Amino acid sequence: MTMTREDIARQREVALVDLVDRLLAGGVVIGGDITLSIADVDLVYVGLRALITSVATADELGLSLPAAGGAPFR
Amino acid sequence: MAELLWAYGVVPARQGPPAVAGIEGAPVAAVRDGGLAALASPVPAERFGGAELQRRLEDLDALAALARAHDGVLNAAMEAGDVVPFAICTIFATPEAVRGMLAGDADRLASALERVRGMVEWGVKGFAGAPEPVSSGARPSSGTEYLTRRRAEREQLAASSSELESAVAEAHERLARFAAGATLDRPQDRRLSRREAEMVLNGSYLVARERADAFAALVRALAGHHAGLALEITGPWPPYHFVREPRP
Repeated sequence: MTMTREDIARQREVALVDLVDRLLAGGVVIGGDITLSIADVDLVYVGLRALITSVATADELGLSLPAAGGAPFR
Repeated sequence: MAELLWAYGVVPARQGPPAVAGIEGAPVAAVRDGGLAALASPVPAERFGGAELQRRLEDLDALAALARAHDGVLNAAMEAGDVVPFAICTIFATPEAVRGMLAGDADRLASALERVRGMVEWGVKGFAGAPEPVSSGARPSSGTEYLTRRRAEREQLAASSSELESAVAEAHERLARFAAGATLDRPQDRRLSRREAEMVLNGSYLVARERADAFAALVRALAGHHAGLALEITGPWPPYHFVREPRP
């Protein structure tokens, strides 16, 4: 599949909440030589969850955030 | 100034680094070992070493910027070919450490690359349609009529919610059958999805690139099956949900 410039632009505007869903669920976890300890890695995930919460809070406060990037189908 | 290496993910060695900037605008390089290459960019040790990074992660704007930069590089790599994303904040001290990881985890990384070869991830979110008004506005003329109406309302509500449930189950099942892999996340809270409608499906599907149009057509067809279920597609994403080994 070829990506158009429009597709790429849309990708850049992905909703943070959809991205965080993926970062929390995904990615290979490497052991060994990385500079973070396991406890630090857990902290990253705590932070990501907090980020989700802060998106909700921002919304409640009426701050503007980028809209969801998906195309609606009915 | 001492530098560490932020690693984004792994690509086949023949696939060069994507031409996008990484964390804090740093150039992304391919660190190769054998048939694998890790995409990595330098980050200053003074701000990305253990304790300092920890402090930074408490700053949600900084974390959001890291998340977007991490995704930006992986997305560009996905456009260029295959990629296995690393978890966010995978940081190495030196290029040698990166190569050591590639050598040590070669089998595991190569088999993850094999699983996602030629594939991308699509997100499909389902939202419940607005519930239909159940009864006429006229006041009930008797207690019996009131009770009858209430029972009808309850039954209709129960019927439409179980219809919705089976529509969601059917949609996921059909999408999963079409896809090479499928997983469900917890539906997003209404405030997070920024939608009034309740999210009832938050699925991710691993789909061959050339079947993207057919997948989108299937999503549209499934949305047409049930008036009460609206489906929304996001992606393509790097295959975040499909690179971790199944837990033993």
